[in-house]
Amino acid sequence: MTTTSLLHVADLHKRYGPGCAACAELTGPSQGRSQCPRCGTVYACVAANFSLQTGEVLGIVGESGSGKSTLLQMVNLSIAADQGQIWYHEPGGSAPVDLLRMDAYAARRFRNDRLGIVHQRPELGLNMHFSVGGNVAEKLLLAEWRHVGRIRGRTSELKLQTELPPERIDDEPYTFSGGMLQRVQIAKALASRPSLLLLDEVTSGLDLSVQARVLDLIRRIQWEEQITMLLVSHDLGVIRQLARRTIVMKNGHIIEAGLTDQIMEDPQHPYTQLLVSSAL
Amino acid sequence: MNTTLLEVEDVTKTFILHLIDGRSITPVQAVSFRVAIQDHLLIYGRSGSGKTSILKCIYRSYLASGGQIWFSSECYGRIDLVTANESSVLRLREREMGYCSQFLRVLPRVSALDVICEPLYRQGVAREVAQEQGRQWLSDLGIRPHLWQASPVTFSGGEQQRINLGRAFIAAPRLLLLDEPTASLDGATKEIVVRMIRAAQANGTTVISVSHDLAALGPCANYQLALA
Repeated sequence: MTTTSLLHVADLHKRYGPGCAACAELTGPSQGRSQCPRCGTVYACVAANFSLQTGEVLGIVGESGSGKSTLLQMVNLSIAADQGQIWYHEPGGSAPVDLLRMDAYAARRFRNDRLGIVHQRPELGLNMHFSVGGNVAEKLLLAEWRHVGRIRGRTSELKLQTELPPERIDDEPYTFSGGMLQRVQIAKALASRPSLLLLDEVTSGLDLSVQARVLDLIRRIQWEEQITMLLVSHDLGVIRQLARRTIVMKNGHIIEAGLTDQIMEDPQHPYTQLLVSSAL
Repeated sequence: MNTTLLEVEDVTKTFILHLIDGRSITPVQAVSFRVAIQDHLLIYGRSGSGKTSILKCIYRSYLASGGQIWFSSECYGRIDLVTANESSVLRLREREMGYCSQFLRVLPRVSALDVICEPLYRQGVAREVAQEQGRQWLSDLGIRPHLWQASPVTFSGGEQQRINLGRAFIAAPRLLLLDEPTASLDGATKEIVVRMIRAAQANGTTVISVSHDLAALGPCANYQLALA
């Protein structure tokens, strides 16, 4: 029995700055810094390798500045990688394609149709002056949906699935609470039935009771649709509830990867031991 | 016919504590045993003797430091759980292996009914079908119906433990690992748990339990393994 990789990230790099001969020695987890003290270059992501199976939820955990959001944004094709490949294999499709070798039009089309993203800050994902329905329709129009009836139908489905109150569907997002905004973002991200959902600190900043409801919603959607998710969080509790496998980042490097419960209960790397033992 | 389901061979687990001078502790040292299909093995011993560590090595929450754990799987045939890749372990957990920890850890504000049904939801069982089974388990475990919509976070220790057990049993795994299944339960509920273990065995499940409670679990175990 084989499982298929939806995504295979190979040797992915991103740095900000020119780099110098001393960088490799002076940066990284063993040095405890991402920025080279000689030339000032910041190494946001160094030689990242991982695979994501179809239907899997993979967590990326690490402290602020560890490179987890950079990695997510590179997969979202919104930050250009310096080096490496991101192989994407459409379920039931033919050969894998390297997302980083696509032309600008194909990349935009891929992002609008096959990817969905939910940001920590709703204003990054939503047009705050479009109605909820308008935001969902915007994503569908970008994914080249043109039939008004189908767009309306899909919007109604998403409203039910994300438990948005029907009477508020014409309201503008800036009138919504934080938890409601995340539901709108989730509805928008799921609109085109993407094969990969990217979640960037989606519950950070929400109060605890709302956080639990949003996490429960994401989990139920995952169970019902078996959608593949890449989840970035600094909160080990969130990772534990949603992700089956987890990778740990520090100073731009992946330092440990494993089953989520194994990472939490039997961490191998000194930094992961520190991270886990510091969790509330 | 070979009826062995699990063979644990020379398993050792060492923890290296990087935060405390890199010192190491070895709670499990070269442990071997085998379990046949539909058996119930009870592992007992004092606190700190490595009982839970063995269970976690089998479930792969811990990475064994040495030895092999051969599992006769339906998905993959005979597979070493120490070295199996993560995708295979996840699939085995979903389809063939269940684990009941000592403590219930769930998302707040999710109802007891949904918590007990989680393994079925994960398998893609329809919500209504799953909840029908969930209600039956809650009722069998003596959880009163007016609590079914409440979050188990608000429950007593014994009630939480019953939800935890229900979650492990509901998916009817081929191998069920139970960590102190009768701790914090009263006498009557212990009897319910013993009946549940026997019923699961009769339906083809193999059970490994870890416990101090020889009085409750001893009579329903086929074999016992003492750890020093």
